Amino acid sequence: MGKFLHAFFSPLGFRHAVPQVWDGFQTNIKLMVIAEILVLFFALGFAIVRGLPGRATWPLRVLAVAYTDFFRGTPLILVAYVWGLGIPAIHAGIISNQSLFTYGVISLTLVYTAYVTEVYRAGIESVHPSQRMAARSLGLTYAQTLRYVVLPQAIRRVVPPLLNDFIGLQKDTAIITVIGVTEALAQAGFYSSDYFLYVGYTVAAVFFVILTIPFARFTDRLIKQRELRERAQLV
Amino acid sequence: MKRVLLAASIALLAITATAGARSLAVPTKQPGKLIVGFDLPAPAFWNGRATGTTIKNPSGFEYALSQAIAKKLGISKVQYLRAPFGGLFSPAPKKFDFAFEEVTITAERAKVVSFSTGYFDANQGVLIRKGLKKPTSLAALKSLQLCAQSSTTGLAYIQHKLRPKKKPLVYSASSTAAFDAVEAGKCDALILDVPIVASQARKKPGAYGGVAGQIVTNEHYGAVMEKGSKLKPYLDRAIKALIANGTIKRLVTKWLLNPIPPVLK
Repeated sequence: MGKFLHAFFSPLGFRHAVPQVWDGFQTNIKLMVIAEILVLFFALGFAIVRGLPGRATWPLRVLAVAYTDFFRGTPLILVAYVWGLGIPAIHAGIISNQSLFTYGVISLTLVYTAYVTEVYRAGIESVHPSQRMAARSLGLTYAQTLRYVVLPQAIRRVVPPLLNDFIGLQKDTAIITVIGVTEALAQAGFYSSDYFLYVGYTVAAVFFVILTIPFARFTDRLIKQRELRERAQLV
Repeated sequence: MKRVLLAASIALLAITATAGARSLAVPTKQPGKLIVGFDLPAPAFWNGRATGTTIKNPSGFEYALSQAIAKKLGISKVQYLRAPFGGLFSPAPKKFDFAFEEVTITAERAKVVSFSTGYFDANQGVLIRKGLKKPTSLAALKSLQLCAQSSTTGLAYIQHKLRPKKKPLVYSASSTAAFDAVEAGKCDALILDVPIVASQARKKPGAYGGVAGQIVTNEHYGAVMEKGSKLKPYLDRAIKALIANGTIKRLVTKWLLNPIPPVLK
């Protein structure tokens, strides 16, 4: 027990490990923020494409489905290896010449866009068809219907699952360590190999948790606010 | 006429002089700057803290060597770039001029990257238990109870070259178990990479009988460069000069092996 406490919770270790892991954790935050913005943007695009009407848009829909199927089924660690190690080795001009951080962002974005596309799509499909019909019969175009009637309701509905995926993404930024981005987990590893203490991992875990808890509470509040607003409207 | 000739010859001289200067410039990725790759953890080779893609407060054998090389090449600006070991032996374009990552030069690796001349002999070290009479030859090792870590050069050496009388004890996973065996006296001598046993002996003084010697395996660490790098002749020259003037020996004593164990024959 004493050995365990010393290895994971040594107070002296904390003092050294906190600044070192924090140094890496800033990279996790950067990865997360950039990837998240890109994911929100691209996923909405794919979700809209998947829901397009008409036969002419069939190839687009197939592409969107193929994309989500493929990247939802591929492990992130594999995608990261392909980008971080494979792509630079093929000498494909500018695409092979990016920083490891960029490859990390690309991997996270590719995989999480697939997940979030499905979340958006569920939201869009949850809006009752009568709403679309009503909007169209009022003279709104397809795009206007989407923009002013469907999406505002759809997105509000999927905020909790979206935030859930945010948290997943936040944690998965640690996977990017495998291609050699110096983030929190890497720093924790360096620390443990320098001092033979695992305090670095404890510190990294604490950082990740600290980041997710406010997120979870914020989601709760958002849901509550919306419920209040919608009920007030009913009354 | 004479004057014209003189002017012409001066002009010619000037042209050759500038051309000469240009060819003298060291062909680094960014002129006037040396980018050195590293990876962590590599205690004693690279100490310091990784931050972003570089390293803060660096020190250690390979760091000091890179500084000495930069000085030899006449480059004052040195940038350190984390180049993960996992991606080192790929044909990918390298973002560094050369990397020091304790890489053993092998023919297989040389197919995809260029190596500098060796800057460190990656020999095997012999760590003996306390109270054991120091073996002074390879023959003396044969009668001892040897031990090694699984899938290491040291174990291969024991099994294929040394062939001792007693079967060696083999410890898997980490070197900790092997070190414990020496400390407990279960094993007379552990054979493992010499910088590793030396740093362990330094870390735990009094626990072992010391590093009795090193076994030459003809394995060398070399700097890794992009395949066909134009820097190679310059780097090789610098390393050879630093070996010749004793700088590298001094750095080895300072950071890795103090004293340098005798070679067992």
